[in-house]
Amino acid sequence: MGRKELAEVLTKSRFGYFFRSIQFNNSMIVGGIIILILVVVAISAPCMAPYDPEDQDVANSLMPIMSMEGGSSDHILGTDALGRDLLSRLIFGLRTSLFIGFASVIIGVGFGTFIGLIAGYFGGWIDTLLMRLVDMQLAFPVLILAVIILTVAPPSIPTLLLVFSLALWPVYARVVRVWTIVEKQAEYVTAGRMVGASHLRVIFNYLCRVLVPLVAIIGTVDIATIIILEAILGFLGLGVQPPTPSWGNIIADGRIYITTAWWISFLPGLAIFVSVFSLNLFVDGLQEGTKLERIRK
Amino acid sequence: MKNLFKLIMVPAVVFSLFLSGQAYVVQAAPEGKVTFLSAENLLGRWNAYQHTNLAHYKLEEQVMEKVADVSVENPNKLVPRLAVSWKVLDPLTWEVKLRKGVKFHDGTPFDAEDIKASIEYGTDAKKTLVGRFFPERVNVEIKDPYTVWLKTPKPNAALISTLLMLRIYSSEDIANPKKIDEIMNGTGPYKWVSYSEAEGVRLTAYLDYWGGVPKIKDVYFRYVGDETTRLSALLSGEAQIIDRVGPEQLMIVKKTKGAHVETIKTVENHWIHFHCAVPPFKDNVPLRQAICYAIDTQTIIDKILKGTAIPTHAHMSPSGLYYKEAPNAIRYNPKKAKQLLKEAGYPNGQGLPELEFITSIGFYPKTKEYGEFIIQNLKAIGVKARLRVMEVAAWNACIYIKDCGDFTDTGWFIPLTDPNAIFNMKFHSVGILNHISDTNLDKVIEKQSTIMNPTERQKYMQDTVIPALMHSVPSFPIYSALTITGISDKLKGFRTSAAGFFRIFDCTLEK
Amino acid sequence: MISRMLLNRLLFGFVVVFGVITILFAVLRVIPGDPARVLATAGTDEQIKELRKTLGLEKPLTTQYFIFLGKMIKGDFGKSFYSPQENILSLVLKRAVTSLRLAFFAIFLALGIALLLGILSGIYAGSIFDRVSLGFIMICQSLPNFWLGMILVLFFAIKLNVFPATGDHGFISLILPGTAVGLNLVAVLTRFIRLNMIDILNTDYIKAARARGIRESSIILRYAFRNCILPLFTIVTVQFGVLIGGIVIIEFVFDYPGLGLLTLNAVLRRDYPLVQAIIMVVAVLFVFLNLLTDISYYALDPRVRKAQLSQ
Repeated sequence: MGRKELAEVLTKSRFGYFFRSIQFNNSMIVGGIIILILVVVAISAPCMAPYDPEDQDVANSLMPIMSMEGGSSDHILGTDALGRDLLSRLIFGLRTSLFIGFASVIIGVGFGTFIGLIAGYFGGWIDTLLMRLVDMQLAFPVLILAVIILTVAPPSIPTLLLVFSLALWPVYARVVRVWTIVEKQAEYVTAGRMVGASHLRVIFNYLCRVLVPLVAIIGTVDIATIIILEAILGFLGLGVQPPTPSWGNIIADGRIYITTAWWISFLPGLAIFVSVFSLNLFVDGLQEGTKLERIRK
Repeated sequence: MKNLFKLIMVPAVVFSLFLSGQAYVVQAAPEGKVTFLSAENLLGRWNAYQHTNLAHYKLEEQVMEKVADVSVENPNKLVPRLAVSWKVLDPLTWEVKLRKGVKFHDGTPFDAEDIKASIEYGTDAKKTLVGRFFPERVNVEIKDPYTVWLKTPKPNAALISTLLMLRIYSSEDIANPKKIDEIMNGTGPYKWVSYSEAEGVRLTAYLDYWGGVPKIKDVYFRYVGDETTRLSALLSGEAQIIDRVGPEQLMIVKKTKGAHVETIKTVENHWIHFHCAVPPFKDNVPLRQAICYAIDTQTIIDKILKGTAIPTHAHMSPSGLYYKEAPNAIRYNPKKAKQLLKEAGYPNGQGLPELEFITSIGFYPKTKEYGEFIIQNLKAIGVKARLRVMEVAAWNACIYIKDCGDFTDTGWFIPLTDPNAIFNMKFHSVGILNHISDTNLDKVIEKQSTIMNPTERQKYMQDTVIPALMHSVPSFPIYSALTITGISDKLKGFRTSAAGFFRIFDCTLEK
Repeated sequence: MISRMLLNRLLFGFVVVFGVITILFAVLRVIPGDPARVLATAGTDEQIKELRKTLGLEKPLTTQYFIFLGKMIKGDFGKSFYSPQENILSLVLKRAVTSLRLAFFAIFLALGIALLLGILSGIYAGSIFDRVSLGFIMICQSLPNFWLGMILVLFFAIKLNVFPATGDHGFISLILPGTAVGLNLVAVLTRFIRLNMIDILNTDYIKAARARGIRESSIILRYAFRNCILPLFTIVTVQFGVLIGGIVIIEFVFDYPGLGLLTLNAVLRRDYPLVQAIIMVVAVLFVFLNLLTDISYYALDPRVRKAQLSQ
């Protein structure tokens, strides 16, 4: 589909007016910049981190932040119970979180969108069946499902990706299904069908062109959801396994030192906050810029 | 006449009031409530012969009794409980005299029948877990209602001290194993009330206890798997005794008013158990030794456990009977470790699959931290290993399985100072936790328990048994933990014996 | 029309619960980890085998499944491995009530703050107050709630000793965990209320009311606010499900004896009967909740209604 055709479709789409113009605003810019910085840090982690995050140095354990009494410039953010540099661990933890976040969203949201499209487009018993499956999964609180799976299958990156994708897909399936139902009544779709476009073409060429960008915008914020979910699982000891650093792990490790070496638990939480905040800010700005906030789930 | 009457009556009334007041004072009713938070999970089933669970041991100490106990003052002395005296008649026979006037909580009187039922059931390794502490089943002959003869097929020098593993049940209860699972009926100062997941176990003072009336009325035993939570409960007054205070928490307790810690040396040892029934550790002594030489136990003790443990260089606690450092004791030596690794057939770790190291969290302090430290130690000699941290109950289920992980970290605590019981359970085929099956070890362990002369037994233990165990290392003792308990300042008289027991019966609660 | 849909949904609800239970059964029986080993940790291999026979674990899988279903219909959920003398259903329900107390407290707290902030920022949309409030909401949304919980404990329970750090001591125990749980909810609700207020205040209806000279405060309270209530109910219902999910980790951090903590411990300890009973209760609750949500969607969104009818 050419550019002109795309523009035509967008104007005729039921959701078309959202794409008419994207107004840049402060939230988008600030959020976007922070995210960019985080991504750069994560990608260049081996260069940016002053130490190997798994390097133990028990003689120097529990060192405080540089500016506090007992701190030193050797370890700007201090060390944990085994003397590992906290700054390095946070940086590598960022890498883990962002990677898992992106990958899970792509898989989970992608799968959910696919199911939603099929269900909404074909309707009938396919729709009913698929939505029952969605309901069945939604009947499980996400965390409990995750804990059950991770107690059974030892936590590894693929298992974690599976768990997080499972957490995401149902909601997207539902939402995309509703959007599909609405959108497939648009003129250009019915016109396309009359001209003889196959079901496959309608779904992948027409509907997707409109719905995928929408999903992408809304889905970005779920990277934040996954970052937090990963931190929770790590906190429970079921996420990324030691010695690989993950923010949740580090918070859990620091728990018994909360009154003496509080920075071990505090700093990763702050890191999570910054990442999630910037993602929320960016997506908020994007939604405001495209007036999408009204149809947010 | 009236005056004489008054002269006699008034003092008589006053005197009888005085007497009744005295009686009132002497028989003070128990009051108050003590809550103990345990670091190990409660099993929900109460048969005292089918577990090695420390929370249960501590609980049973309040409710049920044994023939004797380890003295609080002197760990090598025994104090009489349900037995009042014992002596060796011949190498195969011990005579034991029992205490009179004792009643079980359900009212049945205690006598020789109960001893016979308990001992014959408990020492039978085919029927009970605790039976595995005894080389063979003990036969009990009743001479009169308060005298029994214990007969063993082979001489057993450690018989009486090993019998300290058996809580005495009534013969009716032994005949009804389902009942023992559901409730504890004992002769001790506290009586079983109930158990629920939320409240834990509830006990109440047994007013007819042969040793006197307890001063504290209600006792609660609860499992709280998180050390931070246990500490909060102690500091806020919700609990009066907490298990396993870790090194970090020591400082906090010291700074807080209202609570203090008790630190004592007990016979608890902390081990690494190799799974010796399956590869790669099966029949590969150099590999096991290599791993042991690679572990820097002194740094673990000094820097991670921060002085809450002491080193041990034999397969028993330094507080145990006949302890002596093994002449071939293994001390941290990465060079030697690498050499042994080569001997084992895995030069620089090549060919060795990634090993899985299982440890617990929330139970013993710092297990996760030094677990990661050990992984680094092994990495330094070329051995790849990954740490698997499990919640206490899941860990408890995993460690006994012969192929759950490649090696495991556990503490082991048998409330006896005589190491015979540990040797039988852990190193005699088939060893519990390490599944070792080594005929040479079997021979020396069997021999040591038959030497009746203490001096000879000590020599054999120190010259033969200890070095043999250190050579084979089916398990490796990494440290001997100090038992650190957090106690409310309002609880007076609390003392833990070297066998690791405390009796709430000895305590009083201040208001 | 509506009643037929209702019946449909109810029927599907049963199917869903049934499906959940079946999948759970399959998962728990097929995974590695022997329940008998959990019960008799240090037993010998023969003892374990005996125990498996007693527990009925040696029978073929399909037989076990039908026995399991049969028992469940009679209301027999078995016994928790670690608490075999307790009635499992009453245990679960007792803990569920404890959790619900926390959940409702969190909702009321969040609702209170959200109404205040939402209505005010809706009225004064675009003002400095609005922007500060949006910033505050954004922060609320982005804070990891379990971490906030730990920080709250550090300050208010340990350093200042104002609130209890753990356990359930009545109302005072709800405050710290309730704040942590309700945190993310405040953000969602405030946004929603604010948006609704802005929309409604711009309608002709309101403009006409203003023109008729009705007092502004009256307009806000009686007209604008009233219209918020029904959609608010819908969104709270949806968010309730999310809240229940977040409650698990908060109960863990605060050692609050609710259903979330019980479930977590049950799964970690492989206490299968307890896990089954809990999931059953929760599944029924969630299906009911989803039903409620569906009904309100249907009743409120004309596009969905039209689309549904044309299917």
